[in-house]
Amino acid sequence: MSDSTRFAVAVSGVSKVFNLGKPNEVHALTDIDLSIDEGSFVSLIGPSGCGKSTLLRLIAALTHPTHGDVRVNDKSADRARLNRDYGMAFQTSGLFKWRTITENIELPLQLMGWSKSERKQRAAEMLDLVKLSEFGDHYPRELSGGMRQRVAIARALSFRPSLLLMDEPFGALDEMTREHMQTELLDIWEKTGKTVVFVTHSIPEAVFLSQRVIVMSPRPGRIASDISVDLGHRVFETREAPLFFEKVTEVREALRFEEASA
Amino acid sequence: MRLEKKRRITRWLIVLALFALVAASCSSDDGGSEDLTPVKLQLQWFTQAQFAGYFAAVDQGFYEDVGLDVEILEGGVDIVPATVLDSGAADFAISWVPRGLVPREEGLNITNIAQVFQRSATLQVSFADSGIGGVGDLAGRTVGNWGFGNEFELLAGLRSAGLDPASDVELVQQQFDMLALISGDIDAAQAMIYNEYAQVLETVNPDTGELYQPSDLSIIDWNDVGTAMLQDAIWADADKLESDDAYRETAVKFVEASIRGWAFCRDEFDKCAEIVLAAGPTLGESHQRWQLNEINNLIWPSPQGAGTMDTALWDQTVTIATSEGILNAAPTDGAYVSDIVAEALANLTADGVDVTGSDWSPKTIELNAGGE
Amino acid sequence: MIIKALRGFAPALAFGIGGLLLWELALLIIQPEGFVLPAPSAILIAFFDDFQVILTASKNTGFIVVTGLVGGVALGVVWALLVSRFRIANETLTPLAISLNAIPIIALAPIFNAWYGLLSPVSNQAIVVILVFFPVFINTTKGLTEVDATEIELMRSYAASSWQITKTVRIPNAMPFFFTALKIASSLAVIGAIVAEYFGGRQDALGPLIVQNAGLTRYTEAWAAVLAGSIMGILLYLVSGAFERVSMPWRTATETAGA
Repeated sequence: MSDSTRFAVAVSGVSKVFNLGKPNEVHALTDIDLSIDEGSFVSLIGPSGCGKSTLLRLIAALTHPTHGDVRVNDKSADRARLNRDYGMAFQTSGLFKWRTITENIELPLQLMGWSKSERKQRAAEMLDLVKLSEFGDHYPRELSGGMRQRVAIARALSFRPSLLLMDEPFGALDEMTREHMQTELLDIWEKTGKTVVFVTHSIPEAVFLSQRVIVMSPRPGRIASDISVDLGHRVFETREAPLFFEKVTEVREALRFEEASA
Repeated sequence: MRLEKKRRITRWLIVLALFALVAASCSSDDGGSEDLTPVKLQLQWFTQAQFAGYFAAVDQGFYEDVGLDVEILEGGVDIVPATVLDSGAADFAISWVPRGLVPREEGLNITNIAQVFQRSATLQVSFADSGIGGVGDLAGRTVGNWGFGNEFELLAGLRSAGLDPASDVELVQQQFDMLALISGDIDAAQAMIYNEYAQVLETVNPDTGELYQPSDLSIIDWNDVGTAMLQDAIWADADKLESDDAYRETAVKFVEASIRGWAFCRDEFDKCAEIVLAAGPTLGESHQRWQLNEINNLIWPSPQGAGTMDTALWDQTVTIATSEGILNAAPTDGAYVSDIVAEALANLTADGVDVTGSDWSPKTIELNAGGE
Repeated sequence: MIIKALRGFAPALAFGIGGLLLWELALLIIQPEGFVLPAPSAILIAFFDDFQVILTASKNTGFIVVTGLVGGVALGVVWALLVSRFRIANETLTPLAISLNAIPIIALAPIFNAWYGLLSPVSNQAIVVILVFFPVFINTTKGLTEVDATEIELMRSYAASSWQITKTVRIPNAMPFFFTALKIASSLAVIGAIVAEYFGGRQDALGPLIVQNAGLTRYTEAWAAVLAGSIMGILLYLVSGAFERVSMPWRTATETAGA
């Protein structure tokens, strides 16, 4: 392993137990080793209870491992959080209903002490990026679910973090909007070169978006398979390519671990 | 089966018959009280020596002797005797004259059938060292009063001294106690000579360690100022007096027995005081004895017979009421009637009862701390 | 815009006027013996006849109402901020608030009169403050603490400090709750001030005016004073509503636009 390949995310020997020692003890994750290259797009997929969201939160330093180490950009995950190295998007857009779209995008910048003019400029840029420039003065309630998620992504990227962590951001959207958003996200990814860790329930989504699909199994959560997806530059037609279906099948098979174990 | 049913019905019939028998015998047990007319009297305030005559009349059987079964209803802050009387919830009510005239003007047809208290008992009390000697000295001072129709003598008194109640004094809503005066919150407090005034004299003066003395206090008596208004009187339902002969008869009997009760309280002071105490007043023995003495002083002597209207004082009361804007106009005829009390007095005199009390003189009552 | 606003008021206005007419007619037809409920026309006449007296009384009572309301709101908000931020505060201040709220005014009023003096406005203001602070406290606390978990996680991902979270998330989140409480509190303030006045103090205020007229069976005049109190309550409610609209512009925005 060469030092020159700095990993965006390096998870080593991590396990996470909730309520340790109490009757409702839960082994969310066991023995997780995962290294993610800079600029790559990685998905975490698995059934409920496999710990994929927990793993994402460990990377975000929103929770801490019981054993093991999480390093982001070659620092501790906590330090990375304090340095605002990552932006995060959730299943619910988490937009503040009392702020306009522009003000929502400005939120992290405001917290980081940016000047008013700097914030305004960056917000305008980001709105442009997600193609919602006319909605700057609207309130979240006036936007559809899909639009709100675009704003959430714009907000996550507004302070140019190198890492983007996403927890089923398109889960609440309908299929058509979902596919549209996937294309948009890939677009942004290609433009900005960020590292993306993407948690999802949807096999086609994982395959379409990522170069690497990490399949996780539950009870206790661990990594079952690490499948590389080499579909090159993704376009709309990619979803209809034979290789796409092959990969989808591969992932689906990898998810059938209940039967795989004896 | 049919026999069973028959037996059951018979059993039920027997039970019913027994029940009817018991019910019948129960009602016939009231044989004695069937002869007495039930009467309800609404007092203007809480039970105290102010109403001793009525309690004595109940206790000594005076009402019973004339065929009345009188129930006394205690008054209170929110109880308006005029409305209780008019609604029929009471047959007679004790009320001050202005507090009877205002509702009468509002449409309650009630009338004054016996003016029991001949004089006003309201005082404005201040500490002797406050410099308040007369009404004029109240200028610029905080003057407490109870409102609710108790303040008219004060307002008229202020005006008679050339003061404007709205701007020349600071009128303060006073609680029905003397705490505000004693604590210094107000300069002059409203007090009844038979009640709140005594409350001060029952309080320990922190400077001397002894009870406050009359010499510590300075009083303004509205009788002297000339703006006194008539107070406790017996009121009846005027419509009923007109239409119901039995009610009128009851009224005469009621007034008669009540005056007899008041005469008893004049002549048998100690016994009367005990009757009041037995009725359960809030304040204690020495306070009730003081009060009884002062009440007697308001009723006796009554040269024309207790309960007779003093027309001069009535006119004064009406004049003040109209000039103060309490009444929009002088009361119409029938605000008070003299015939009922005249009849009652005639009956009493014929029976040898002293209804003028010309020989009576006030006692000296010693007060104890807290009125006990 | 004015026409639009008026149209919004139209149903309420029609209902109100209709109700009053019905009341007036009912009394004309039934002509009950009791005058406890006088006709609206009689009340209005008494209102304008006694206008100067009622106006002075309203000013005096109104002063207590407004100052007490402001004080109670401030106390409630500060209390809520402390309780939502510090667990210790929650464990001590919340039970204290509940106990204070449980004490009946009737018990407190004479005590405050004794403490602060019969004539001091503080004794009445204190009653209003106690009545007002509780709904404000409870509702604001709820608004400060019942925040979307996602929003909190988001703030933590920004490494936001506790105070930043309070300022940018909890306080704006609490505003609808706060304004609900404010509307409730404004009517309570009027009631509290008037009831406190029953227990002694100045006589040129609405409380004594109502009670004394009622005690003299002058019900029309009593209702006229009650009317003044109601107007005061309504005005405060409207002002609260105006504050609310100004502070929360996002509420009036129209729902979901395009895709």
